[in-house]
Amino acid sequence: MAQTFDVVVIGAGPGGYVAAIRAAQLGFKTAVIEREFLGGVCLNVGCIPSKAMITATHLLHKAQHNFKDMGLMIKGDITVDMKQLVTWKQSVCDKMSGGVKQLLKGYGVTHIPGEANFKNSKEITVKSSAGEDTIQAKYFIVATGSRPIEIPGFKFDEKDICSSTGALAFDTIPKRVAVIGGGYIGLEISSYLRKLGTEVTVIEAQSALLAGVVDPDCAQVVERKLKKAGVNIMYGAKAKGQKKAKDGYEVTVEINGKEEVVKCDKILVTVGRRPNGDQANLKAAGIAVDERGFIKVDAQRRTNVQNIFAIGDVAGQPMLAHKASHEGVLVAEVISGQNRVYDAKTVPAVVFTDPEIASAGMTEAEAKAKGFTDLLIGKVPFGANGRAVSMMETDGFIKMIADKKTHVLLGVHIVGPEASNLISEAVLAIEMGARMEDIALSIHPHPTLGEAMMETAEATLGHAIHIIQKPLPK
Amino acid sequence: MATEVKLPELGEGVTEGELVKWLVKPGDSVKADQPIAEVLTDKATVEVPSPVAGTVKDLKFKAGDVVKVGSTMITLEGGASAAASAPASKPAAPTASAPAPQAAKPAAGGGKVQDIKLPELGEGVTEGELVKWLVKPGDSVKADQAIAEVLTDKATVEVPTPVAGVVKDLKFKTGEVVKVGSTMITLEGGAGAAPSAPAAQPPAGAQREVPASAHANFAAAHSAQSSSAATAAAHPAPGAIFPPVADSKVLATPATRRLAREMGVDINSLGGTGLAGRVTREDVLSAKGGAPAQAKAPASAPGMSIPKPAYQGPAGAAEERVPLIGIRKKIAENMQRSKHVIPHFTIMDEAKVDAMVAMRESLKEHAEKHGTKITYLPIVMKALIATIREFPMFNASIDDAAGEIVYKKYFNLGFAADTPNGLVVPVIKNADQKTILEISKEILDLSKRARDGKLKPDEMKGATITVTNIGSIGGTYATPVINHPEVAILGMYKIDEKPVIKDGQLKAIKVMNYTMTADHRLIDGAVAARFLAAFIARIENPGKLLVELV
Repeated sequence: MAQTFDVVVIGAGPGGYVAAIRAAQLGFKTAVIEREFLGGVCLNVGCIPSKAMITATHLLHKAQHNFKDMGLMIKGDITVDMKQLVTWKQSVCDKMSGGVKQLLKGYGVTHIPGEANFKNSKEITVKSSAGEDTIQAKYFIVATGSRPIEIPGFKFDEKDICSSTGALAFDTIPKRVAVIGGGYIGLEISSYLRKLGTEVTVIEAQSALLAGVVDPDCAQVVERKLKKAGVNIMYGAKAKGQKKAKDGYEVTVEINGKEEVVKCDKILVTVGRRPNGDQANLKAAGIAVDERGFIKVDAQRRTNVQNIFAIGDVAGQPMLAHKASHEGVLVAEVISGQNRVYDAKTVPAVVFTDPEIASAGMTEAEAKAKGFTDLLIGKVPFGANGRAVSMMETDGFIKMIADKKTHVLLGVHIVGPEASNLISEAVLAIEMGARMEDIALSIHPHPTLGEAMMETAEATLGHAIHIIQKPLPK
Repeated sequence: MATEVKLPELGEGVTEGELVKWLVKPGDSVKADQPIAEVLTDKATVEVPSPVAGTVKDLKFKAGDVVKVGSTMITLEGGASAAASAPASKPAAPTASAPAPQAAKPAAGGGKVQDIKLPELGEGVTEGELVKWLVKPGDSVKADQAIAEVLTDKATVEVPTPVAGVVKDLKFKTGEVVKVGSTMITLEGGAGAAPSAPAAQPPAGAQREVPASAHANFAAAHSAQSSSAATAAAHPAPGAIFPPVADSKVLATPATRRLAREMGVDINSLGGTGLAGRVTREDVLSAKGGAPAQAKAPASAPGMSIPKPAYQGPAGAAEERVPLIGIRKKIAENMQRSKHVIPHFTIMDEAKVDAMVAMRESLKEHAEKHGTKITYLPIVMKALIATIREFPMFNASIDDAAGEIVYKKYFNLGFAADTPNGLVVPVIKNADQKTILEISKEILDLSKRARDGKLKPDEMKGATITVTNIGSIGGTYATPVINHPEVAILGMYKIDEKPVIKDGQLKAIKVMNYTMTADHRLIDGAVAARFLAAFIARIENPGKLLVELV
């Protein structure tokens, strides 16, 4: 007998489990199918474990480089117990994943482990170690996510040739790592591996890191810091292949038409992620997928099949957990008959490098392209912020872009300490249609990094206090 | 005697835990302090002890269920006597002393304390405004004695107490809104005195069963709820789905964007009145004709943002402040809502009423034989109905939320009645199917009961159009306010004599003024003028009514 539900969510990542909980809150009999782990990539092999590693190595770095200046003396060297670090990291993931399990149970969502495949638009099969079941539902939400892109000649074994998944599980500190791809995943991992003492070579095909991902000024700050820390960066470089050598691996790199060899023990390939639009037998349900593998969806995240929705990475860019969660709530509410559409002005993006980069809204170039010809731009370095100085983390700045005519905030780009936390204020300000005066006139607590937001708003208006600004022409 | 063992406080901030394992089963004897279950909270598993000894009767949860602190986990039989051997071993063992704490407060009079709740006041009535207390603390009340006056819709009802007792305290102040089911007063010593009022309060034990059985029903309720939700969802909203506006140049907060979508307002078409051209919540509301309604809310839904200006008088002592409550408050709200929603306009004219006066004179005797008297109002009502048949929009309503005009094929005529408490509007239902004599009788009855404050809420509901008769008091013309959601109100004024020149001779004729105030959203000025002319033609020649009689 086939089990029947009102709503079945395929995939329990940050989109899927959130959709399932919201659907259950709205009174639907809901199930979530997950083939691997609750919480998906984010909680298990993505956001959360990488942040655990980044936090630990950041502390290590501070202890090594800042403590002495601060008068905090450590006798002897600080050593890293990599096994314990990985164990701790895993405990963080397990705690989070267990939390999702509790939530699903608490809301009465049925969790079905296994791999889902559509039979038609009303039925799926779920294959697990226990066998195969058929499940029927009035509505399906496809939240199958994405997976790392493999490049020719670098087949993942997740031991030596790794995606982020393998890299997050290293239980010894690798001596030399070649990182193919200078995007945010590659650089986050590079940052913390370098802090552990690994020799890191970043092989980037473009002429800059994080190209097209973040504001170029922000990327430069991180680039400088990586270089200063001793990360070797190759620009305009293409990884052609690899072979096992006597000690480790040799990666062949084509750079300016010439071939070079990068010696390493581990290879990390982080050239991007691709949507899982080729999985779950979407065709059987008649779900349309575009040429890049994204499921085609409308503003309500409905696919071309009326009773099937898609959210998260598989439903289009940006492939970010918080976008997926937002869509999860949205879709559950649409199914319950509410008039909702995806209507966010901005999806913030965060890169957990050292220092962190975070942005919301438009870059300067995007604003111009949208027809905002006259802009107000303010930039305040963290060096002018008391809290940043006291933290010994003064690299970076906040940049704000506003429409000169209305003073309405268009974009905020932050590189610096706690950029990931500071950006939330910018998101709220942009969604609320704040003007620069709104931010400048809101009293921010002192001494905090957040003061720099107020100060940057003042800077766009030409009267920041803690930097010297030439008076703006009237 | 059965004792209920509840999940005790497990730590600061912990409100629930997951039941991992039962350590006892029904039929087991347990000693005081013996663990009965393992409960997982915030990653720590704790053993829950039974504060008393007894025999396990039943287990209220299954392993895996989430149990809230304070929920009954098991019931023990023979617990009370056995418990004597384990007194106060746990400070938090209120269960050892059996009765529920809330019911156990010993009353001064030694009797039970009872909560007297606001009963159901009528279909669809969920709350009322407390107008006046008829008792005070310390008063002895009898069963069925009125304890308070509560205003619902437009009728004031007296709330009786189902049981006798001594009033302990009053839970509300006059002017406050009381929900049906809220406790209004507590009575002491009520139990013995009220044998005639059973089950005003369920016994404490029964009440305490509620959490457990509610939980047992959770699964069933949940699936029932889910199937209804799914049915609702099977018909996705047919209304337009507006595209995202975040990308457009329109500035509006996320909540305002959502509101516009829910109300079916295209936010891109609005000019923002906020700073830097922001579209505000008010812009969206006024774009929708001021009706704030959710998709299916009634047209007169509460929540309209009506300004509340303060009044600061110059001389405190020479002014007296009394609360704006009761019928006066209700009238104020209704008038304000009507004026806020409806663009009013009034048209006025004069009718020669000699024929009508003569007709009424000639019918007086006939009416008296039938035990009533005839006024002009029922005749006017008949003329009004006949005219509405020609102009049906005068008997309509606008459903702002749905964006629809509702034409009503029935005739419920309201008439504004002046009472000592203020204006009320009783309704003659299906007036088109009643004779003038029947309507006359009904008007007399309703007016009398209106003056006595004895109208039932239903008798003031559902009017399709209203007549107001100011003539008996004075004034030549007025601009009455429409009783929203009606769209028109007919005003009639006093009969006067007026000189006219007819066939070269000065003559006195009887005239009566009429006004028609209409909702300009639906009714154009010319239409109202034609309506009033057609109406007056009937008044001037009552014989027409006879001809039109079905």
